[in-house]
Amino acid sequence: MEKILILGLGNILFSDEGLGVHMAHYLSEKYRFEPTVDVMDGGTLAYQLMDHIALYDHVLIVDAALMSQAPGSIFAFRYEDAVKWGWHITAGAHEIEIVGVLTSLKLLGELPDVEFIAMEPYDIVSTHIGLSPVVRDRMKALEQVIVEKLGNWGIQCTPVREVSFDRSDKDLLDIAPDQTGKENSHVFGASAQSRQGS
Amino acid sequence: MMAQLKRFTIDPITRIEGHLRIEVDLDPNNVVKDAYSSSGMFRGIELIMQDRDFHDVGLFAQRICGVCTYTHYRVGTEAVEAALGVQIPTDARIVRNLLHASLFLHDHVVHFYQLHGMDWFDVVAALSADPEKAAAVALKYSPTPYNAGAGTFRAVQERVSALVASGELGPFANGYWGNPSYKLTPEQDLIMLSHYLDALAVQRTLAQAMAVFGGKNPHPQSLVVGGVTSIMDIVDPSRVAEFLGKMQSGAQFIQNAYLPDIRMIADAYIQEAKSGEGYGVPDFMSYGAFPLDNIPWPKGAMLFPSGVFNRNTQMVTDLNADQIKEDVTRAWYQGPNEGVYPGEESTIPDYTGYEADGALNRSGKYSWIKAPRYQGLPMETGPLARLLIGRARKDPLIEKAMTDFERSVPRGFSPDEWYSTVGRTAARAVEADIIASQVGAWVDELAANVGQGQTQTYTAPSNTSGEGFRLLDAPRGALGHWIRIENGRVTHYQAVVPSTWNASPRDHKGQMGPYEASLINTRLAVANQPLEVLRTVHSFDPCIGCAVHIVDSKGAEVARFQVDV
Repeated sequence: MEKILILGLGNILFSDEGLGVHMAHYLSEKYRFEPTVDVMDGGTLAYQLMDHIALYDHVLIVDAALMSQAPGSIFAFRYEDAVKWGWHITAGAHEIEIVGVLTSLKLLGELPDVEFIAMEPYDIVSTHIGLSPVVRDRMKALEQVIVEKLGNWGIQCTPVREVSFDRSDKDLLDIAPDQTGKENSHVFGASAQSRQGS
Repeated sequence: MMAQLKRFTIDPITRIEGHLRIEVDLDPNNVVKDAYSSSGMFRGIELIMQDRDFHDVGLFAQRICGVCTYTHYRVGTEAVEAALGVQIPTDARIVRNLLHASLFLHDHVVHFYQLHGMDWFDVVAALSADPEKAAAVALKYSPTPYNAGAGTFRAVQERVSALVASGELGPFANGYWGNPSYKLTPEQDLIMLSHYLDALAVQRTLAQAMAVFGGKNPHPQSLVVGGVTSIMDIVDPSRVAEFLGKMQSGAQFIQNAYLPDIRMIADAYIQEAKSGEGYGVPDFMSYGAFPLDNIPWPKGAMLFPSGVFNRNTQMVTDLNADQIKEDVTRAWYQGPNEGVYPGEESTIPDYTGYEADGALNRSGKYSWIKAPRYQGLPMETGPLARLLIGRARKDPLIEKAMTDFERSVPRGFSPDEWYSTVGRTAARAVEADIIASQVGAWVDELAANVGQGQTQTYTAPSNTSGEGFRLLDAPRGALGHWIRIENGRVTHYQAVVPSTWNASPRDHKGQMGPYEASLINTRLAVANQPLEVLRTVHSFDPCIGCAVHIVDSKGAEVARFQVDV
């Protein structure tokens, strides 16, 4: 069976920069996936993600991307497209970034099929945990695009509990109790909120 | 009559974490006569910590950046412990050191090969090298060279050539290939290129090692205020063996690839080392790393001792944390001229922008990086500082490692040659080897404790208010977190990170920061190809950690990939 990873990337300390990470936690709390997929909070890491990415056949990366379009715009593209746009030589703020990491995997002959679903952020500057209103209002649309993409890969997504994006930055996800008592997706990683209990 | 100077701006400095801009003035012979280091990104971790529960500090701190996550996690957690007067158990200290060791090795290997290597080796020249000859050359620098047969080298050439032919240069794009300042032979270039690929695999093993005691990687989560949670891992011999095995494969790479390659570089670039190219400020500082007992800092023993060392006097003095101040005269913050102690410091932005033509405002403020000073002086911090201080303190392990390296360079390497870009880069490799050599003993110590039934890894904090700091060296140098906690909540936080010391702007006395000072008198072999400047800046392993991890299309034609929902 083919292994699938949903990888949320970003820095949750800078508002919309963390939208990919917030989405990963949201999906893993809300859905049961059949057949199962792994969901990972990749945070701000680069080379340390190589090992994880290499384990899968298909990887769906959810991240913020500066595409010079209206904030909240959603984009779907492949690793090969990003390379064509020259992202591995980007003069952006972050040189050690995900496209370069993927190219390194290609050099090693271990690059899986990688697709991106990205959203244009509104605010990646404020030191604030939580999303800007314009991006938060588009998270449902982003979710829809991801669920549809997974559907194309033959993955059925069944909601098992109510989750919403809270408006406070103290605890971004507002999670209802599991209605089915079943858990079969697993999010690796924890956001900075201590939801693991003590 | 003064010769006309030409301004040259490199923005951004690539292959680093974060955003850094270097502005230099070149004379007609392309020699750097003046230099300015600036970061265009604001880092507000201090603001994020306000009013947080102290248990969460480490978890927030580790999200600062994607390179040194564990370091901030540890130092943030230990700052809380210092403030609340918590003494962690011995086993917890050892586990934290083991985790830190895996981070240091991972960081140093990735830095040298992935981020710094291409300042030293020419990828294009490597493709035309003779693989048989390269295999013979590798034996000159190590009796047991790592993965260095002619067949391997031929396969590497084929693999990289295929990438280049496909137009997908990836990491090999925008290099200054063919620049005369590259000193390796094509065969030596090929050895480096081959190890570049090996390093990609080795760093994965080292990242896995961190996950054994870290609970997970990315972003380990086994540290808590009062100790660690990895109790089930330390009592399980198979888990401990797994960690050790992964660390040993890292150690093998360091001994048979990393160190020999550094020998090769020191050999080929001996003139640059002799002339002191890239030497910056005369003062070096280390907070120390890898505490070996439970005596509070700075009195306890550490694998790398703490101190301040001056090149001219060759004297080492003990550190006094009260003498640290952050000067913001030339940085975009408000504050008094001579700076403020981090425990008292506020972070109030005061952005004044650039000149009309986009240049840095050289007479005013020009960076988001503050200027930390110790007793009013700029300090270089990092692996070179740790080795120089260890040697000055007559630490036998460090002295032996440095002497061994000096003797192992075919053309010789004198103690004075450490004060250079070559020396700074060599120090990182020597340090990696020292750390790798200690891991086995620390694991044995842990196993012996467990064997005697000493399995406590946690001490519950009894206070909820207090003030304190933790100073500890990270891979890039001196890292300090200062904290005040009232009734369980953070009321003051300040982090002074290694790259802040090294990349700092000028201060109220006009003293340059280490990057700036290290670039003066650097000569470019080719005008408009700042390879030598990049080599020196990269040798500090810049991590302007803080911020934006985002893919950026720079306005590429993306509209047709937009999804309408």
